[in-house]
Amino acid sequence: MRILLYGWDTSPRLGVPEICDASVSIIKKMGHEYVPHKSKVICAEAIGFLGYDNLVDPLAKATLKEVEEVVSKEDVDLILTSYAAPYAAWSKERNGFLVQRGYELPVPIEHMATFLYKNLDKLKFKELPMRILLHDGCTLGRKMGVVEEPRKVLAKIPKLEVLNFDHPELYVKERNLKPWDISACPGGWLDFTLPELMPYVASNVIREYALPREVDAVVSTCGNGYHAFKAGVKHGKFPIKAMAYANLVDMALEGVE
Amino acid sequence: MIDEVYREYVNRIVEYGAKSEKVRIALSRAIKAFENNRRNALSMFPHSIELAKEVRKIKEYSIEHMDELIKKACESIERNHGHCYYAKSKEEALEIFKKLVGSGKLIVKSKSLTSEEIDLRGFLEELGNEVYETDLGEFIVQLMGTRPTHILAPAINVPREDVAKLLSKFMKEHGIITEDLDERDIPKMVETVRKFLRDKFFNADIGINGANALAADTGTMFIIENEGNARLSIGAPPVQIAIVGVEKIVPTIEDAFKVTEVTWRYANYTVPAYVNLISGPSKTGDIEKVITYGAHGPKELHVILLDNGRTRMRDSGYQEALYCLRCGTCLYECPVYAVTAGYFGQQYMGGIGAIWDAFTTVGLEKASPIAYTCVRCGKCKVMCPLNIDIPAMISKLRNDARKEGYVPKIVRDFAKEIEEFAKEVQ
Ligand code: SF4
Repeated sequence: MRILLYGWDTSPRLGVPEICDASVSIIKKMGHEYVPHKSKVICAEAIGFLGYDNLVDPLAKATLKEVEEVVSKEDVDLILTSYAAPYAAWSKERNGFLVQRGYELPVPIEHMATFLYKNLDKLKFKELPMRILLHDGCTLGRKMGVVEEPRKVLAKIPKLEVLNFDHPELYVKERNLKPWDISACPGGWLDFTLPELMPYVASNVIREYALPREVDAVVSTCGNGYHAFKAGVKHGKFPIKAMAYANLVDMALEGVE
Repeated sequence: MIDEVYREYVNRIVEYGAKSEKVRIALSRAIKAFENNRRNALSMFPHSIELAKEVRKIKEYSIEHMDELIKKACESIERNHGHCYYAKSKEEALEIFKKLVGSGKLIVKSKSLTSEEIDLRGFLEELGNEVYETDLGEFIVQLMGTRPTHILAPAINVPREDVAKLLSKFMKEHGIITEDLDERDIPKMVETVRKFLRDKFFNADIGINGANALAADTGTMFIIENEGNARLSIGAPPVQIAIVGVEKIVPTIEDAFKVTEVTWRYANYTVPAYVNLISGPSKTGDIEKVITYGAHGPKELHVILLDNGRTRMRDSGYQEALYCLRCGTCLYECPVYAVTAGYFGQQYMGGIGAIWDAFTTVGLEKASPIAYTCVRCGKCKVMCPLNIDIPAMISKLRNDARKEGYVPKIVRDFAKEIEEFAKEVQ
């Protein structure tokens, strides 16, 4: 398969180029080819959240045109992203925001977690003796309910211990809350609106939720969340790692059967 | 102008909020205690979770029929021998207060966000009155000369060490104590304030209160409290003045019971120490059944119903914000509030506060940076008893701010880049 990596430009801009490296590595280990997508990859829905509903359609159209060109020129079969927002907006399977508005990508889009999940039977993992705290990205987990897929993939990695991102105090059985309902956001979006604040928010989330659990790393299914956690770890000088979901999987993935 | 407003706001929230270890530690302690208490309260009274759904419906109906409920509530209050006033704006409300209070009075106040909204204490002091906040947290905030940083716990960001210092100085000056208070001895701090305020309650000319709900059919105000300060400020002085936001009015007394129960439960109480119900001035008919007003409680009751932007809020598509019970849950759940406390806001706080500030206090331009502080993570919506969609309203508020030219430069520049890209590709 030829896979277009969506988010190629965002990661270096956010200071997390390692997400691209890990994504490329995963794709190669799985025997596919990758096509980078150098573009303004903020998703059209998100520009609306930022107060520019008037740019949603122009950006969606421009993105679509650009993607269509690359897809046809590079003979792309699939679009893959480590970011929740574009997946949430463009996924036909999930009836995304832009799909509801009448836009359709020429080929399917997958989030890294859903892509791996769909190939789970073939994936070969080596042991990864780590204890991690899994952060469900706000859009991917809380909003879209993509929660089983990332967990099932991680469950296949030998010796990896996965803890949920939650507060036991919040559980009252009648409320039926799940870890992804109550996981705290490290504030990745602040980078676009109030960047001075982001490291404080992220480091506090790590201090309150991750440090008491004595984990080796906090791992986010959202690229944006990861970049906030990375800033938070640095800011708090914490003795744990922040990792993107793709980076963690890449560490353990040996290849496909 | 917006860039100046933004810079000033960022400086405040980062310097006084995020960079303060004291704020962080105090909030961390408070959040843990809150979560624990709320779990206990909801586990013990699990019907509250279903009741909250009913309350949402009550609020939906009430906000939709706000105009007729205001009229009905006023009629009920007057029927009960109270006096009812409708204030369209902050200025109108303060004018009513000026006429009712005048100057040279001793006034005791119980906690009321609505009174904060119109800067009531400062206004009354300027008229030459002596005004005391009687809720302990509000009293601390008053002594500090700052403003509340949580809607339920106004001094949530002040650690006990600072409270001890503050009270020691004030109470020594007023002859209540002779030695400094021990920072570990919280009961002693509470006792000292009790001693100081005791006199004030019984010598006050006027008591002022807010309300958690107001039943239109009976004209009954519901006031939830734990300290007993509200019942003293309501009950002891000869004149009672209430300031109530029009969004607090619900059709019936039964509805008001439901609203208040859900409010206190999500505000982490199994049951509060007191729920005060006030429908009119005090009265007796014990001598030959002749009704006489002003028995042991106040002789006069004045209720000011405040609009101050609420109708505009509803008519502009932000009606959900008016459902807010002020239970405080969303603040305790917010990852930004956890490091910034009330600096994330102006008069109101957090994401929901951005909407309230835009319509009732500082206006859209000053509320814009608050809206851009919200990360729209959606945890507040999940945890809110009424499932109020704060993230959706934040997006709408940002869009409204953009239409007025109130978007901060950092976002404007980014949007410009996107716009150029869209043009280029097309
Ligand atoms: S928005 Fe909801 S959670 Fe927040 S104070 Fe209001 S009722 Fe409570």
